[in-house]
Amino acid sequence: MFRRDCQIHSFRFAISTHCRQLEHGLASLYPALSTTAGTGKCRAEWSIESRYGKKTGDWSYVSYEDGNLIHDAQLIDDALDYLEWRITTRILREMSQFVQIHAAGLVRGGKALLLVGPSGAGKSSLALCMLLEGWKCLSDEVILIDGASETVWPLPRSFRLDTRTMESFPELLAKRSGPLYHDSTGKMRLDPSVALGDWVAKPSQPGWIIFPSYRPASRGEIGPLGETEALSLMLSQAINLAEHGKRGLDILINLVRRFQCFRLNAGDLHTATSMLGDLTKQVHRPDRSYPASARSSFSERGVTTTILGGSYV
Amino acid sequence: MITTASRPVVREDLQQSDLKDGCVLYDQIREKAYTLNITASLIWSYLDGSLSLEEIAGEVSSVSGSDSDTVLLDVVKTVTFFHDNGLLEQGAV
Repeated sequence: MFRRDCQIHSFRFAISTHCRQLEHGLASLYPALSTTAGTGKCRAEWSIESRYGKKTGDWSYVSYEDGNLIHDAQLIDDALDYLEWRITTRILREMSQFVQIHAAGLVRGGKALLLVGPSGAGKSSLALCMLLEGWKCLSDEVILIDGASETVWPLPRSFRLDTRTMESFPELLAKRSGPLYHDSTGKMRLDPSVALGDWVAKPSQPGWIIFPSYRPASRGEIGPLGETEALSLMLSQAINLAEHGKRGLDILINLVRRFQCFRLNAGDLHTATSMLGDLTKQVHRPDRSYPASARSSFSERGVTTTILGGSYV
Repeated sequence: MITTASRPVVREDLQQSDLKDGCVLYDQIREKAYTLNITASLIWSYLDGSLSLEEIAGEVSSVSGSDSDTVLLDVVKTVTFFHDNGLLEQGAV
């Protein structure tokens, strides 16, 4: 039987299976949360088993949560995808004391660089590229912000990358063992542990907040972003602000006030990574001039609304 | 109905946090946040009932250097957004 105990903060959970075919897939879900320390009781247990339908002649993969059937899939990929979504959702619920943002987080020199953006913005690809350049990683998808200490905490799991990005990292593909599993969006799950032993960063204070967007034809550019637009973008990627209300909003306001915010148009991954590397070496001189936007005409972005009720999808 | 003669007043219970290039409003009743760029926040700052939208457009136009007709259209559009989202005192428009 395969069983892995995982822990994030005080939340301890287990994933298991009796099916050898599923072991590799389960092992790839949360490699960095694996724990053997202590004998703490797991607060949640998930498992997947395979079943053979004699009538249909097909295999199915059945998922359980605390012993209760929660999902039945025809494909291993679908079963793993559902399980990962279910576990991540539970982790986020257990970590509700943190303000949670859709963002990748990378750390170097004790400071975190946050890549804030929706799916498809290039967070995971950039994060993996930066990881190979010597950065440590908090997460490729969701970061946890402790408002009291303005510290960002890790939520590491396997990266999700599209086929083209995956091909940009032949060194990682060569080192992996076992199959690559797809999620429901067609992206593949890659465990950075196959190439990088110690890839998870310790909780860190932010230094830079970057809002990337992937533009294939772009040669790459990076530029400062005003506080209002940065906050607006940040709010659009907040997952659980409704639980924190005004206090959560204040935490995000403090972040965009205190730390440098930039917009990154990323075309080529390696160029973008190099630009971020250069940026983080520069000494910041804040611009105190009256913003040009004051003189521009009104735009659709003049007022943006955020309902403080994001959800994890 | 917002017109150029309207003299709207902002809701007193909204919490405002100023940013370098705008501001954010928090409506704790509806649990909504509104980010306003510098121009929208300038308009917001005039909404105390003492000026009509036409007069506000004149003020904004002199600050921004933009064409007053264009500014008036945008002021009406912005204040209509505030009105439609319940950010103004009812009956004060």
